[in-house]
Amino acid sequence: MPAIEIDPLAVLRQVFMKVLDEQMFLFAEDVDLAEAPAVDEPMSAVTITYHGYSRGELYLALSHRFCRIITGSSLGVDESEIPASVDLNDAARELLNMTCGQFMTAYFGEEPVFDLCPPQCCDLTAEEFAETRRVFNGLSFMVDDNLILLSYTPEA
Amino acid sequence: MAYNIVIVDDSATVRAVLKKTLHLSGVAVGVLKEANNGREALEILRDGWFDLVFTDINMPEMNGIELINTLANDEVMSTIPIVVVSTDGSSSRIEEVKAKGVRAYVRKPFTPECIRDVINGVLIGDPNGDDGVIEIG
Repeated sequence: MPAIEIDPLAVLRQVFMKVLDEQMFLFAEDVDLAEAPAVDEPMSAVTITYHGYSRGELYLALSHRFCRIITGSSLGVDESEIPASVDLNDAARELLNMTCGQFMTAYFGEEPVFDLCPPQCCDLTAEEFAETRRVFNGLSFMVDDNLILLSYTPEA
Repeated sequence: MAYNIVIVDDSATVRAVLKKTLHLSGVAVGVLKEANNGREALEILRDGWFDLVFTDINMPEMNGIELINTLANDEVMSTIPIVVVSTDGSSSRIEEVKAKGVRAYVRKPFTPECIRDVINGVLIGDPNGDDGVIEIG
């Protein structure tokens, strides 16, 4: 924990917006999850765990459509030009990896050493995402018409 | 002179971004190889001469620290300049890799200009570029 009490979600929010902006040239807006539009499309859920000075996990949920958008932005190509061989979840894993690395130093400071495990990704059906959303406790954003969920769970 | 470069990162997206940045930087690139992790990178590096290695730290199978240690202990490969490109921003980690001879440390997310400056500093010795052990990002 940092010496001064800081809200980890406020730090995470700032870091995520910065990474999305600087690496993918996209701008996220906060959204009240209760008022966010319904999602009826396949989603990806990405998790990354860290250990060392302390342990915990970050979780990111985003649509397959948004994975395609961030892949195109990262590669600097139009979405229609993304090669078929590209794993569309790779950019989502890297987005969470960069967010986690930046969050570690922004929240815990530059002294502590952490090891990040490679991010893991799985698909969620629209129904599974609806259930995740129902019990979700974290940050929610809209990028254009794409809903994104992001949470932080420290290990006790 | 064209430089032979190896990019080591478990993210194909990051490798693609680095590749594109290298081409945009104006540096003459000869052979450009990609590796998913440190083990794959070692196979490539043992198979030819390379002028520069870009490596991530957190990777499966063999991570960047293990790769840096292996290269540092190899009589021939210890002379290859290494640039770390990682999300890890811990000052202890940066000091650790500096002590092992890493020439530059670029933090993700990075801009094409960062990579260009590092290349100019490490490979070309541009007085306006970065050289020596540098930290960016």
